Amino acid sequence: MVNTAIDTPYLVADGVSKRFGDTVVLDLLTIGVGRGEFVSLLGPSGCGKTTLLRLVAGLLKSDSGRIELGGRVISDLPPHRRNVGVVFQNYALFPHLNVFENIAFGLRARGAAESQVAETVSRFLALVKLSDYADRPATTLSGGQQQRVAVARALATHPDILLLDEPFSALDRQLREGMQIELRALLRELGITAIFVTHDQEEALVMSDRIAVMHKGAIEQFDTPQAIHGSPSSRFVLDFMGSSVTMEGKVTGTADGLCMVETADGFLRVSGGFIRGADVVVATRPEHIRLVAEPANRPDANTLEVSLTDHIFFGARTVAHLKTRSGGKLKADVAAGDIAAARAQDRLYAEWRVDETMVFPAETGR
Amino acid sequence: MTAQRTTRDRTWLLAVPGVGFLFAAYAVPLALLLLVSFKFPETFTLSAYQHFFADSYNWHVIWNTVRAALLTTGFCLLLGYPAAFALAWSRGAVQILFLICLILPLSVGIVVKAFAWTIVLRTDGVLNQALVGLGILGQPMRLIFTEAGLIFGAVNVFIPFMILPIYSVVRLMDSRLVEAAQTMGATPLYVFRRVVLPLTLPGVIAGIAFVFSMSLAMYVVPTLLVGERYMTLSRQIARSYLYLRDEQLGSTVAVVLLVFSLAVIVSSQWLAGRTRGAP
Repeated sequence: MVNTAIDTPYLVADGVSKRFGDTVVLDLLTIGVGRGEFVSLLGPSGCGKTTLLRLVAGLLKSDSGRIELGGRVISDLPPHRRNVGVVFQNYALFPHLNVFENIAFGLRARGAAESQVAETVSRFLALVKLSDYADRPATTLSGGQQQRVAVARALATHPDILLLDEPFSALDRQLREGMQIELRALLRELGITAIFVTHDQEEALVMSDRIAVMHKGAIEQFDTPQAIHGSPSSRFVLDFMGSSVTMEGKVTGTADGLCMVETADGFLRVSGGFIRGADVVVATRPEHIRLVAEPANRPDANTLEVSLTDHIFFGARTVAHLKTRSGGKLKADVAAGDIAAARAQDRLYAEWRVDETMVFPAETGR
Repeated sequence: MTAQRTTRDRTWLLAVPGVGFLFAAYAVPLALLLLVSFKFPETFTLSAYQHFFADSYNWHVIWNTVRAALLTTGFCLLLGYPAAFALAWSRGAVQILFLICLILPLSVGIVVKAFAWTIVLRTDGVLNQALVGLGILGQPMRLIFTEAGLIFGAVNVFIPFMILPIYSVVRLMDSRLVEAAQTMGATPLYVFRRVVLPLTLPGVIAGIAFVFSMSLAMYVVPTLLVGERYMTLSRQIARSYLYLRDEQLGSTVAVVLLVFSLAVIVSSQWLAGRTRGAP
């Protein structure tokens, strides 16, 4: 699905820019989303993700660029002629209407016959398991139920694309996880193309076919969740996609197709085409680090001598806080039993595989 | 739970000072005054009302009063409804400016305003000179001492009481409701009819109730702007007491006016309750 998605994009934003006053919110952004694809726009607040969503919905007008949906140019159409569905952050359900009337709103606005309205609304009520709530005032439902009404309302008009603006942010954690899986299953079943705005990287990983990580009005990386998490294209994506361990160093040479990087605590091996003398940042994820008593000195692994400074219990895992000889700080996800073993050692080494080692050019001003 | 319940049950105590004041300063004197209309000479009778409603002139006065109140309310709504949105949706300095424009005229007494309008409205006044100068009128039109002049003044006095309640509901309305409706395919007109209007209706009803009941009872504006030519219920009450020295006629007219006002307030409360509790 992903491959055909890239070949024939269903939604295209081409060179879209938007500024508010002097602030450039989107800077010549281009993105293509395939038919039936679930794409997340992920980034910190102010990265332009919501602005992009609102441009697609027609709730904002772009300063330049073009937006196409299903082969027609929609960038100059008013929102009511774009045939999109939007789920807003706090649902924006009509407080003066009941659940049925909320879902029926779009159909009635388009002049659908009442018999067809009743048929469509009951189908969507059943789909989101709210058939018993049709007569309730929409805003008296619980957060999770309101969210389902909002999804049903957005889908009832058979939109060409569903746009979701942080729809889970008002729900508590337990409910959120359930809703994520439910929504994903529903959209898969209906084959709906969806764009999902979130600042929660875990949410994006769970739900998306592809994730566009956004930073300062541009797309930093656009790829599958696995690729975004496993091989981030930039230091920003690395930092944003969960916790990481980083060490600064300088490339001193190459051996066996690998670069040698000299850091304050010794040499590390990385794969990548850096020139000798380049300043780089070497990184890995805490879950890749193992604690060992003896350095293996294998060519496919990096090893640093460390000491244990603290450990924090998270239930399923324990995070060991480590210090290198030069005072650099590392974190490692370990099993609870490993902490006792690590404490018993005189010398302790942190070890991780070269193919789980990432390297980025050192950036100035970071 | 029990403690909460008790606290809540006692909240009515908060109303005691205010209600007590209104009772002593308003309800008791008014009741004494109004009872006069039923007491002729010593026993309860409705003869004063029979006389009042038998006189076609009084029907003319009632019609004048209601007509002026309806026109005033209508123009206040027409001008005030969009203005309330401008006030609610503006930001920063512009909003402060709007609020000043709305509140400041309230601090200028009606008498001062009424004399200011006469300068504008009189036959050689600014408005007439402008209309003639622009060639819209061939010769100066009589504006003062007419119904048009009365409505002009009354709208000016009462429009803040239309804008403020509407403003307060518009401010609370989530603007994303409009956006949601648009994205679902609703045209701007449909959004207005099915979302904006229903959600602002409580404010509209409150504004209508305020302006209508106040313009029904207005006395200073018609007295200063129209004079003897346009008799209203309020002016007839004053005339009965002050010139005719007929207390019974005065209190009879006052009861008629009170019944009209009560009808407006009760029906608007009922309407507001219905729109709020719509199933």
